[in-house]
Amino acid sequence: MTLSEVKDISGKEGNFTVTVARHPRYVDMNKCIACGTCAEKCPKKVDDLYNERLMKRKAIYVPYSQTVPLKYAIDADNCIYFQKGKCRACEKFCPAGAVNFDDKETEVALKVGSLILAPGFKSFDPSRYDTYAYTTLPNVVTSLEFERILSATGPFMGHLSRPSDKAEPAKIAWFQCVGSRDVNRCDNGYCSSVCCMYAIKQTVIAREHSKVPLDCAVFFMDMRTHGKDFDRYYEHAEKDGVRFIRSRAHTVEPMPEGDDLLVTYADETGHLQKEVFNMVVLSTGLEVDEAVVSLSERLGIDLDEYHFTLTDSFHPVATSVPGIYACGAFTGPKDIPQSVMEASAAACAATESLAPARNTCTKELIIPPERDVRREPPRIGVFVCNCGINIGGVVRVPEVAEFARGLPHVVYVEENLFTCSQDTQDKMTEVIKEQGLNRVVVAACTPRTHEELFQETLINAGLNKYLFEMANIRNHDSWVHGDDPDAATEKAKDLVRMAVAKTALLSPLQQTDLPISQSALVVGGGIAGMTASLALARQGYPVHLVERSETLGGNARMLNQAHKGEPVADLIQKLTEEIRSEKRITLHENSVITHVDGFIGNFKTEIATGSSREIIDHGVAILATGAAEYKPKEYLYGEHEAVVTHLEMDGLLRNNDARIDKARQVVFIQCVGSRDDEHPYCSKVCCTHTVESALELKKRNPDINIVVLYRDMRTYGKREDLYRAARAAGVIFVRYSRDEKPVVTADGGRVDVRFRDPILDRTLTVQADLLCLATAIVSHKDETLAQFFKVPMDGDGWFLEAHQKLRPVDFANDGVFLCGMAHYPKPIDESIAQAQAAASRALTVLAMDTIKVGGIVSVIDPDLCSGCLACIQVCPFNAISFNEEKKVAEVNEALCKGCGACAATCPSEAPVLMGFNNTEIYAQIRGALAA
Amino acid sequence: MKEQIKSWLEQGTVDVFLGYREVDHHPIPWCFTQEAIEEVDDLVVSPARYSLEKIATHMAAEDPDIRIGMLARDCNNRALNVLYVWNQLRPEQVVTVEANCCPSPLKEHADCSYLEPGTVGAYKKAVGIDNHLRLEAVEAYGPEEGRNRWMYEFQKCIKCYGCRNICPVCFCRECSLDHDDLVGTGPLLPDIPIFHLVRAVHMAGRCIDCGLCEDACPMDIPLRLLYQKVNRIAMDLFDYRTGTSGDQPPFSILGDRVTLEPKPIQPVTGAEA
Amino acid sequence: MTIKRITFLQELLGLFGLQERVHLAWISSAEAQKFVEVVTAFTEKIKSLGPNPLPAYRDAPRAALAAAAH
Repeated sequence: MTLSEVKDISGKEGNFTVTVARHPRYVDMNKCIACGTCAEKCPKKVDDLYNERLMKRKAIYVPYSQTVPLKYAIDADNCIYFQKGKCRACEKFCPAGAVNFDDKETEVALKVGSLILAPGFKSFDPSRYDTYAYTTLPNVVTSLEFERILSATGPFMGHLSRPSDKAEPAKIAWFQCVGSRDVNRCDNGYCSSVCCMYAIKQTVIAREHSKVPLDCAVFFMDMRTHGKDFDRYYEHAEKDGVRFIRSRAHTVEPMPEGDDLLVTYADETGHLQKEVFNMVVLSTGLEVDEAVVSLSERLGIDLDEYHFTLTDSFHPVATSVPGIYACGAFTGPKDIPQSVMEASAAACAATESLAPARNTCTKELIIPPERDVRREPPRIGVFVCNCGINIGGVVRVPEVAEFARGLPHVVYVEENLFTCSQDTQDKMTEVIKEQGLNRVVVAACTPRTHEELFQETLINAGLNKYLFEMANIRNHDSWVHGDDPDAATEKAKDLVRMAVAKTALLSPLQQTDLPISQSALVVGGGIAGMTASLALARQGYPVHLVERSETLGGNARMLNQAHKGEPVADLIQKLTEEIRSEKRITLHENSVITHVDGFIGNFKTEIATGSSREIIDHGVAILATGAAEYKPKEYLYGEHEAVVTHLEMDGLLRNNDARIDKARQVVFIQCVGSRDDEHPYCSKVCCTHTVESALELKKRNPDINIVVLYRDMRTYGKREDLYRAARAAGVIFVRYSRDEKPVVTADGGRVDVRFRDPILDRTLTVQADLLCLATAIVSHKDETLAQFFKVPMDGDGWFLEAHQKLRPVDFANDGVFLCGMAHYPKPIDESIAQAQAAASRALTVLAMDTIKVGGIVSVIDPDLCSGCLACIQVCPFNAISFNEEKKVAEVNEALCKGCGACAATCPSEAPVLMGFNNTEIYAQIRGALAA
Repeated sequence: MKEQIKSWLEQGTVDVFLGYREVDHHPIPWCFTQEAIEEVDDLVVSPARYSLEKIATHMAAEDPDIRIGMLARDCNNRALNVLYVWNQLRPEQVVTVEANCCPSPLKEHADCSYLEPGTVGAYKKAVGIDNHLRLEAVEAYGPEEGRNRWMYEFQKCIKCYGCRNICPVCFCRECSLDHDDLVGTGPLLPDIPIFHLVRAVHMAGRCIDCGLCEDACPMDIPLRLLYQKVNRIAMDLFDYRTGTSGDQPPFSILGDRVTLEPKPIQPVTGAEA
Repeated sequence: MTIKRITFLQELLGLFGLQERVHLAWISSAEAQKFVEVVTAFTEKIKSLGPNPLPAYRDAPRAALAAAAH
C-alpha cells in the first residue's frame, strides 16, 4: 500500500483495527506500464525532492528509477489540471488508458494482530547553523545533496560538479556532527552514528569521480567508525591522502571573488586556522520527522527526549504499547546493517504472539496436471506485444509477427496490444490448449518483471513453466532505437529468431519438493543464543540449544549493566529460567558439535556430551558462539595488581571491592588490543563501557579523580548522553595517538601513567590507584565449526555474513544464520536484535513444509566428467561434491543456484546448466548470427 | 638406477615402472613389471621422450590403487604436478627416478639438448614463425604481421589431433576439439584459428612446456609459443604458476576460488589490476 | 575477475592484432547514459575497423598469404 497513511488505530495486541487513508494516485496501477510517456508529455516542471531539489521532475512522475512499485503518480499540488482546471495531456497520451483524474482518497480498515513502525528518519536541516551559511552559499551542501551530486542519476549525471557554477571542485571540506552531538544550536544531544562512515565513503567516491586529484578534508571531533570493517576503510582513506582534521569548524564565509569558501577553524592546540575550499559538505545528522512524532502520539507510543522510541536494551524493537514494534532509525540513529537486523527482529517479535494463527488465512492453489510434451515435435506459439505504443510505435510489429510465422517449428503467431493484460493471459491459456502448443515465446519486455506472469499462464494451460522464453524487444530494442524504426524492426526479428531457436530445444524441467525437518539448532548459550532459541520455540518450533560450558549466559555474566542502566544479571536469570521451562527447547550443556551433514531443511548434526554422542535432525542452524575478552600483554597487566580489565572492573564494582572504596585516582586506557596491528578493528562497546564504569565510580564517590585516555570516543547514538554526563561529572578525557601510547610503570601499590596531553601539549603523569584497561573483544576463530557448516570467516575470525549490508544475519550457505558477537563485537541490545533477526530469518525456512529443488540447476554428466575437481573449486555455494566411488563430481540440487560457474569452468562441458545448456545457447548464437 | 628400479619392483614399492627399453636399437616406451624384471636391464635413458605420465593416468583410471614408478625429467615432474592438481593421479601413488631435462622458460639453465634450435627453413622464417624464437619476439610483431604469420602456420594444420593425443596433461574424457558446435569436426582445413585457440585456452594453467606437441606436429606449427603465451597470461594476470606444485587448485579462468563473500570494503582507486 | 578474463582474451587476440575488438566497461543499471555512450562508441570503432580479417585466411590460397607476408 503506497501513498497511504495510518490515520487511527484501535483495539489492543492481537486485535488491532488500523484505519489507513489511501491517497489518490490518479493512475491505475493495474494499467500503468511505466513507459514514461505521460512524464514526457507533462508540461509542468516541479522540484525533484528525491534529488534534493537539485533538478526537476514532472507533475506526473515516479520518484526515482528503482521505485517499487514502478508505477507513475500525479502530484496533485503541482498538476496543472488540478490547479487550473485544464491540460490532461498525460491522459491523452497514455497508451494504456491508466490515467484517472477521478481517483479519490479512500479509507481502509485493516484487522491486524500487531504493528511494526518503520518510518525512518529525516535529514537534519542545517539552516539554523547561521555561520555555515547553508541558505546563502550554494556551494555549501548537505551530505544528502552531495550524495545526489555523486549519483549517476543525479543532477550532474555523476560528474563531480559544484552547484554554483558547475565547476569541478578540487578541494572539498566535510563538516561532521551538523545537527548531532549538539545541545546548543539544536537539541540533538545524540550521535547520529552513521555520518563519519558516510563522509569517508563520500571522500572516497568523490576522489574516484574526480578528474583531478581531489583534496578532501574532513573536520571531525571523534571518528566513529565502529562497524564491521569500518576502521579499515577509514585507515585506507587516510593512507590514500584524505585529510582528517580534528576540529569543529565554526564559520564558512564567501571569498570576495568567485564562489569559493573560506573555512575558519581552531586546531587542536587552539590556534585559529583559515583555509579556502571550493565546496563544503555538511554531514547532517538523523532526526525523527514531526509527522512521525504526531503519529506516535496518535498511537500512544512513548518517545524519548529526542523523539526516538523509548525502548529498553533487552527489548530493542518493542515500544511502550504491547503489540506495536519499531525498527530502523525510529528506535535510534543507525546504519543499514543494523536497520536490516532490526527489521527482521521486529518481524520476529511481532509474529511471536500470532504464531498460532499462522497459515490460517491461506488459500490452496489448484494447479492443472502437466502435459508430457517430451515426445512431441516442437509446436511453438509466438506472442508479439505492442506494449501500447512502446514497442508498436517504433517496431513494425505486424512485420515481426509475419516473420515469426516463417520460423521453424512456429505454428501460431499472435499480435497483442498488451500481452501481459489479464484478458490476453486468459486467451493465451485457451490458445495453448486449442493449438496444442508445447512451447511459448513472448516478444515483449523483460523477463525480470514479466517472466513469472507468463510462466503462470503456461502452468494454467498444463505446460511445464520452463518451456518458455522471452525476447526483449522493448527495453533492448524499441526503447533504445526509437529513432530508427527500420533497424529496430530488424533487431526485433533477430531477437525473435534467437528466442525461437532456443525454445525449440527447451525441455521440461522438474522441481521436486524436499521435506524440511522443522526444528532448529542453536550453537552457543549466551544472550544471543538464548534469545534466538526462545524466539524460535515461541514460534512453535523445537530447538536444540548447544552450550559448550556448564552455564548459560556467556560473556554477559561478567557485565553489570546495559547502557541504559538495566541490570544484566536479571536478564540472564530470566532467560535461563525461560529456557529451562520451555518444553520445545532441548538444552545440551557441556556439549560440542562433532559432525555436521546435510543442507538447508535437512541437517544432521552430531552432538557430543561428555562421552555420549547424539545425532539430531534439524532444518536450520543459528551460530551464536560469541567472542572472548582480549587478555592484554601491555600496560603491566597480570604483573601489577592495580591493573585490571574492564570486565574485572565490573567484578570489583559488583562485589563492592574495598579497592573501589579506597581509590582516589582511577585511569582508564581505551583501545587496549583494538585498532592495532593485531586487531585492526574497533571493539565497539569499550568506550560506552568505560563511561558507564566512570559514572558508577563517580556515583559512589563524587570526589574520585578519573582520567580516560582515549583515541576516539565512540559513544554512538544515544550513548553520547552518557559521555556528556561523564564530562559533566568531572571525568577528564585526554586523547592519545596510536604512535604515542601511554606508558605505565609500577609505583608501589599504585601505577604511574604517563601520557601526552595534546591540548596542553605537554606530558603528564598520573598516579593511579586503579588502572582499567578497555580491552578488545577477540573472536574464537572457530575454524572447525566454520567447516562443519561451510561458512566463511574474515581475517579477524568473525563469521562472514552473506552481505554486510543487506543480509547481515544470513550466510551464503542457505539454512545457516548468524547472531551475536560471533559476527562482530556488539552491545547487548544489538545482540538481542540480531538474535531475533536470525530467528526471524530461520523462520522463513521453518515455516515451509518443503523446499523446492531442481529447475534451473546444474547437472553433471558422469560419462563426461574426468574428476578434475575444477568445478568444486569454483562453486560458490558448495553445491558440488566428489563421489569417491564413481570418481565423478555430483551436484546437490538443493544447494545449486544455477549460476553456471561449473559449466563455464569445466574443460569437458560435463556440467549442464538446465534451461541454459550448450545446444540451447549455441542455437541462440546461431540465431543471432543468421541475419 | 636399474638396481633401484628392480628392487622397487621386487619389493612391491611399485606395481609397474614406466621408462624406455631399447628394442632393436630404438628406445621404446616400456612398462616394466616384476613378472619380466629382466627387461629392466634393457632400460635406456636417452633424449627420446614420450608422455609416460599420460600412460600412468590411463593406468590409474583403470586401477585407482596402482602404484607407479616412472622415469622423470623435469618436464615429466611438472606434468605430474599438473595431474595431481587435476586429480588424475595421486602423489602418493607415484615415485620417480630423475633424469636430466630440457630448457624452458619454466626451467631455465637446463641441459637437455632435445629442443635445441634445429632446422627451420628460410621460407618459414620469412612468412611463418620460427619455432625457436622467444615469445617476446613473436609478441613484438605488428598486428598485421602477427596475424599473417600465425595464420600461415595455422593454415598448414591437417587436424591430425597429434598435439592433443601426445599431450601429457590432456586427460578429458570429452575433448572440446571433438565438439561440433565449437570447432566443426568434419572439414579440413580446420576452423582456424578457433581450433588452435580453443586448445590454447584449455592449455592455460595446464601446459608444462614439454614441447611434445610441437614434436608430434607433422606441420611444424609453433605450438609451444602459443601455449607459452597463454601460460604467461595465467602467470601475469592470475599469478598462477603452472606445474610448479601439486598442491595448488586447478587453474580456472574464473579466477581464484569463487566466493560470494563481500571483500572488506576498500576504497578502489582506478581499475583492479 | 572480469578484468582478468577480458585481458586474457585481449592478450590472446593480440597475437592476431584483434585486441581492440574486445572492450570492457563497468556500467551500473542506473547509468543508462553511460551505457549508450560506451556502446555507441564501441560500435563506431568496430565499424571503422572493418570486418573481421580472419575468415579470409581460411579461404585464401597460401601463396597469396605468403605474398602478403613479404
